[in-house]
Amino acid sequence: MRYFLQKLSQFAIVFFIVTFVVMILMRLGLNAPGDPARTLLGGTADQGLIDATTQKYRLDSNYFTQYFFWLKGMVTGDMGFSVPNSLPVSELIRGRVMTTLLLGSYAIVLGLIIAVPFAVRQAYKRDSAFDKVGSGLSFAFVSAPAIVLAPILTLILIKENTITLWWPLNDYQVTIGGWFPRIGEKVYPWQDLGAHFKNFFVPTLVLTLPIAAIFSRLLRGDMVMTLQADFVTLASAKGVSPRRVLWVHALRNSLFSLLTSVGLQIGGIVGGAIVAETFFDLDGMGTMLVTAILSKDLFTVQSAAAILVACVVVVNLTVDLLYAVLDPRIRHIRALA
Amino acid sequence: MTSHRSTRHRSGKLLAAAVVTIGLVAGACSKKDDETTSAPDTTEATGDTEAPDATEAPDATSAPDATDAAPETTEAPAPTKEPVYGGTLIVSGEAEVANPWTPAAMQCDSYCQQRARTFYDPLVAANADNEIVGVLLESFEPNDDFTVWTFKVREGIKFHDGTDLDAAAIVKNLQATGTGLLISGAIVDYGKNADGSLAIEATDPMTFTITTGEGGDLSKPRPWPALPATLVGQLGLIASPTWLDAVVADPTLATQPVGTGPFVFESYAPRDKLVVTRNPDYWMTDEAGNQLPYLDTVEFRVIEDSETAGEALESGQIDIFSTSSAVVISEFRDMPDEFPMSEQDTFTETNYILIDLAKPGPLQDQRVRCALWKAIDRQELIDLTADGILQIANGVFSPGQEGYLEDNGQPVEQDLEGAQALIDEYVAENGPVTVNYGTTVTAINAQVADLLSGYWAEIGVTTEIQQVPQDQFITNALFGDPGFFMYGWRNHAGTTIDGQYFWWHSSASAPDGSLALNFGRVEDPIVDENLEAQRGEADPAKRLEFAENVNRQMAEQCYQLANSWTIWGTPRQPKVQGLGTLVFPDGSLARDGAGFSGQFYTHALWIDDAA
Repeated sequence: MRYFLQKLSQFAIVFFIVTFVVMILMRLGLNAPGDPARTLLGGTADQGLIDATTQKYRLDSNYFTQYFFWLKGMVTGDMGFSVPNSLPVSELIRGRVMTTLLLGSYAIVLGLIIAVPFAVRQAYKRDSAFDKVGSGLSFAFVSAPAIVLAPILTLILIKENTITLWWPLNDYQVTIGGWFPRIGEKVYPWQDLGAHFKNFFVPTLVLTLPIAAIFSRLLRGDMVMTLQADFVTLASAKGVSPRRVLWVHALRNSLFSLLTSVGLQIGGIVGGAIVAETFFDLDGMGTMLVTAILSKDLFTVQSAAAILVACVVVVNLTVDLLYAVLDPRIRHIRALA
Repeated sequence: MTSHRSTRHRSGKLLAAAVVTIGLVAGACSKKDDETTSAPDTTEATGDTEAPDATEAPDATSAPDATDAAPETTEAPAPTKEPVYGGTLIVSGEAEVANPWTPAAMQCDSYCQQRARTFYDPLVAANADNEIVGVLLESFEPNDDFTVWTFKVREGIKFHDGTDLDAAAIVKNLQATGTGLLISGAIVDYGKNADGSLAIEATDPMTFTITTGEGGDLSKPRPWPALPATLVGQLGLIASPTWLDAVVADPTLATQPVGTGPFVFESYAPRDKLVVTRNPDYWMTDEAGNQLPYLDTVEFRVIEDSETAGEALESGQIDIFSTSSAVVISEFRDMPDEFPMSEQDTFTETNYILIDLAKPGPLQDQRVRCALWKAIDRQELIDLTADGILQIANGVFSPGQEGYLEDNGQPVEQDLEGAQALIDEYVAENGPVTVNYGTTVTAINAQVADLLSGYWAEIGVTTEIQQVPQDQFITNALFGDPGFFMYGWRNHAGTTIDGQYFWWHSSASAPDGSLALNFGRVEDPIVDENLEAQRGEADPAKRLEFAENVNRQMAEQCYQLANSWTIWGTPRQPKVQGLGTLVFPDGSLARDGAGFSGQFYTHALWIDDAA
């Protein structure tokens, strides 16, 4: 419990620091060329609106005061107003957070589903043809950023291509691709599961493949080390089946790096999501954040940053707690501390 | 569709163009022939048709009575099928609007105009014969010296919320939009009252007047034959006064527009979708007397990349879109049966480099600007980024426009030697030259930026390239953002020089940090003199002379570095029918483009599922 509270307080500190820094950076941008409220409102607003905005958001106060009242607003649900979009920030985010959340979650989960069995087999069949091909593939996908994968997957899966075969099927034509829409629709699983799958699959794949490759490489390396450990040799000698040795004993002891990587990838997901969302026209938090930064949409940036920071910190906190679940020794040490 | 490099179409130029200026320019500039693949040939624009000779009867400027149609009036193409009611049309466009959707605040580009004209009607519009005709207005006429215009409102029209359209509603809109920061600079010669309001008065429930005044000064009436054209664009889009009041109380309502248009607003998510549904009480009918519109729903998507939009069209995800991407147009030219395409290639915009002349630095020196101009290999630029289909521009007056000159004194061929000489002269006095070039975030525009950077590097000029989102592009230029030095731009469509007034007149300029519709902050006495002279000139021949003077001066000073003239294509699914067939209440054919290239009216579109 004490450990949990310690971690929670660390999370709060990180959250406050990051959001405060984001606020200052955006405010600094607002101060040029003149009145921050006028810059925020886009300059077409009349003086009355500018004065009201300055007063409401205390744009003429010191940064700490501004931050305090912004935070207070966040807690009460008032995230501010997005002038370029003429919408409350909460409404803007509400329409986008689910897209990014789903894309990110799918990417992580799918990445694990692909990576874990792949890596386990690679480690078990170390230096085999399977291992070498797997290593090559994971290296390739690690090296291929989302901006490269997106058009490649578009060419393969989305664009319809007719290929004329060669001997012995001379002149036989095969049509591949055209299976998924080019432009994504924000259809959610509870609205239409089939349409949701069609619209989200390729963008998810863009994020998943590099993540799966990273997970696979990490886990393979750890598994190889673990499989050489004495306790594994003992388990095998005792007659434990290879399947059980791999999946129960070795895997459990190899998950720490993978778990850590899952936590770290959350931040990277946002970057990849920007590419996927832009390329497939799925308007999510990533594209919203980039547009907001470039259009000096102050409150949108702050609120989006706060949400993303909270997500990253919560996930990493969860990862921290999961260490104790995986390794009883950690539970014991923490209990003694 | 294979991937091609395409022209630098979008870079906010297009935005800036139509936008802000509200289409005033659009209105005046909107007179152009449509050489479409489906509409009949239109009459040639011979001049400023909205500015009759001073000796003609004033009511020649009124919308002609349906029974008094002028000879050789362009008629709607004969329909091959009867329109069918129903269906959903999915349209895509290149950029999201900033500050939607009140006419006073929205920073409106072509696609914004496209969408806004579904829920708003304009006061007037340009027809296929380049005449300004009434839409919400029944008639308009000037006094003897064109200093006071009287406008009659069409009876029996209601806004979507039930509010009546009357003179008071229009005056409220014009005062709000016309006195806003965005628009006021474009109508500088509208008279202003002592309290700062525009000299626009409702003289009876269905009549209002606009009085001119040089620089707003009512004591200096300004003859302005072309004034009605200022109401074609954003200034003339009329929203419900009831809704406008509600927006003041609750700004979030600004995203739920209420107008008189053929479609009623249903939903809007920025950068995602705008959905409008058929207005069951719309006042306009087709030639047969059937109520418009035919479609049940129009859905507008934002797809910033034209190639992606093309792919979406081919895959059936969208039904129609407009593009000025030369490569995309070129590709769809090869598929006329699968995807019919209308093209607009006259009176179009110029693709050019917009320079902020107020920004301290080398670009304030004519030698540097002209050196940059001379260093560009325009043909290569067009070949590499526009599939070679665009025409090299010698200035910002495109063919057919008032003021266009085949030779304006500015050679268009690359001249590295001449460019180097100018740069060397400048460098000897001031040191090395570094310039900053801004462009929107597309692959093609990035390619153009790279090419330009290469040409300029050949003469020793270092280029820093920055990429900016399109919806921020206009704002940056509008306010002379610290990061705005040179932008890849597109603007100046239209036919008349009057429509270009506020783009180049010093009265529309302002220091960086302040709003200026004269984005380039051009402050040239010769340009001013000629723009002022043409505004009050009813004789087309004299006006042409003034326009040509502006062309020559702009070219000589290299204020804006023109590269090519645009082509707009509107490819569509074969099932989309009725493009270019809208007939205005006066019986004249509407001109798609309405002042904004690539824009089309949705009133008369219908879906033929059998096609």
